[in-house]
Amino acid sequence: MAVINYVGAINQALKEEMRRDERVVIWGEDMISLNGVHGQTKDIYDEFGGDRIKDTPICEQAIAGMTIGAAQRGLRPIGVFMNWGFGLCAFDGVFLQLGCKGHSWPVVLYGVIAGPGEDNDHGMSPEALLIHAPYLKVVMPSTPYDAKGLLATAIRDDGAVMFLDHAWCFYMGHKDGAIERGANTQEVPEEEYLIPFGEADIKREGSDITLVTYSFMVHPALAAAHNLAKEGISVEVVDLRTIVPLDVDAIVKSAKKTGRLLIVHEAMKRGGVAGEIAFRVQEEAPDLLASLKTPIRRLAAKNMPLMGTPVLVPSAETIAATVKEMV
Amino acid sequence: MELPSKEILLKLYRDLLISRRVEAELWSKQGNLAGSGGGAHRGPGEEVIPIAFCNNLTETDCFMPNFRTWVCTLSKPGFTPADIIATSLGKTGKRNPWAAPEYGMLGGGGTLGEASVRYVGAAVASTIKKTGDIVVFIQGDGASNRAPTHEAMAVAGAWQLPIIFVIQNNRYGMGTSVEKSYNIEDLSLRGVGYGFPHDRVDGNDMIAMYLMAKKHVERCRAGGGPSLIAADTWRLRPHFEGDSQIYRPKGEAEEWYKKEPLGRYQKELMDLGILTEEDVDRLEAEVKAELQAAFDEVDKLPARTGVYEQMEKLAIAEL
Repeated sequence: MAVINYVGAINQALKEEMRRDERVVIWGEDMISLNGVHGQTKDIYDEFGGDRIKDTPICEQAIAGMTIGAAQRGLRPIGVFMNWGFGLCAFDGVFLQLGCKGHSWPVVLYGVIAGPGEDNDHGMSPEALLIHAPYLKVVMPSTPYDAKGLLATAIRDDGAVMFLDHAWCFYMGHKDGAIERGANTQEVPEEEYLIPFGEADIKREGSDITLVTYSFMVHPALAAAHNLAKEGISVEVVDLRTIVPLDVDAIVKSAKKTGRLLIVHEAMKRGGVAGEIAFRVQEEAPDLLASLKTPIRRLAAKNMPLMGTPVLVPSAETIAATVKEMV
Repeated sequence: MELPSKEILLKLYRDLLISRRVEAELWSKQGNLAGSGGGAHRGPGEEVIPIAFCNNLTETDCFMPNFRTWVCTLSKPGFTPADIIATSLGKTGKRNPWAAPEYGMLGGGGTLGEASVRYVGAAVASTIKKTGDIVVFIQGDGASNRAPTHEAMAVAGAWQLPIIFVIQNNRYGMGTSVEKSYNIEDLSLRGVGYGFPHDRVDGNDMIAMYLMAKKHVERCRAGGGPSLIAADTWRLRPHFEGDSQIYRPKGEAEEWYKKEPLGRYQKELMDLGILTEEDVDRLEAEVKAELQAAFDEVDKLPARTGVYEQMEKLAIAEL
């Protein structure tokens, strides 16, 4: 099995699915001319040609809206937003059309969260807006293995799937308690495999506290867990992988085991998905709260626009500090 | 230009007559036309544009009627008045012109203009799958200002897609006149910036509209790429039934009604010697009987049920 990076995993999933089903097509800005900017679509034009991959003008509303007509006429299109912030230009198509009417259209809208080093337009994490739609599945992997299996599942899904990659997962990972460039690599099978939606993954087992998170934040969470272990605090890191559908059982099971629940996300606190998750687990497991040793907490970005410096979002240090307040 | 055959001219007349009559009958029956949005958006007087196009399309070509004139889809190959009646009255078992994608009807929504990109997607599918199907997309003067329309035309032009954009200019976008919304009087100029062949036509002149549609459709089918038509018509009814129309000069609609296209086309065909008074009466009776049969057929069909349950099943109801 080869060790590959995150973008390599995305590239493999795309090729595998496009080979498997000729109805799968992909379009967006600079898909051919710049290999999707980060390399996601490298070699795809050479292998599949211009009927399967297309460079669009700058037209997010068309990138999204075209997927509906194409799906209605028998294709399985992937529309790509260069940055998920730009996807908000297409909020009619994303939310009103796909989100509220798209129950039977096999569409994937793929986009990249540029990360907190950018402004909101490029760098914001929009999952809180997307989960409010009845028909959108929301997928946010953190590692190469998860990315490949989840993207394959997304492409084979007969409904509308919002796939949110994070650029920092392309270039960074965690190693020995710190964030390190190039560290998000792992062994990924070359043959196809599918990761179902609604299945969280325990990225690190622990016994003192359950830390629920997703997307790039998994890496500072694991870095924090590594460091906290040296201080005798055992952190269980639960990577949600998909926000809709949500693996409530995994969260409840872990929280009942550890007695403490902390939800961490990069997006802003107000209206962020942590509030929805915290309430949801209480609704589904009414005996959970009584079994906890301390109130459920969340750690998220300040309610401020991104300004090109990361200090607004959680880090390994602030995650560790919050954990220590809770144990 | 050569006149269409007598057979075509008569079919166009019959389509116009039956569209006008079925729309009025549905409105009188229920005061609302299902599928035409909140508060009926009636479209008598604007039927010529969609009918002229439908008579140039195949069963699998994609078509977007303006929401106001959706009943005219009955003139598209594969559709019948019973389909319109069943959809309007909430019955199952007939084709729904708002949701029949395999027959080119992709639906739309309240955010007018958004459907333009959906139909461009269908044009893309046509080129990828090499079906030969073309797309005719009609929307009003109001909707044609919206942003997605511009992206739709930009992509259609850049990719030379088989789609004809039609602006059904009935002079009003709800309460706002076209004079307030545009700084051009000839809306076909909207094609210039996108590099489209463009034409302006009297959208209430059946023969002119049919020939214009035919010209653009033939060009499109031959691989000529996108084009644009601005068809002039008049909105005889309010935007929605019950609309106070305080924005409208008094007597304007009544003046326009004197020039409405059914009477106008009828007179034209009589002047051409294609229709006599007896033919007019005979066709009126035939259409009345045909519609009665269609209403009777639909009456026996079951009501559409389970829509909410079906949508709930497909929704991801919990987070």
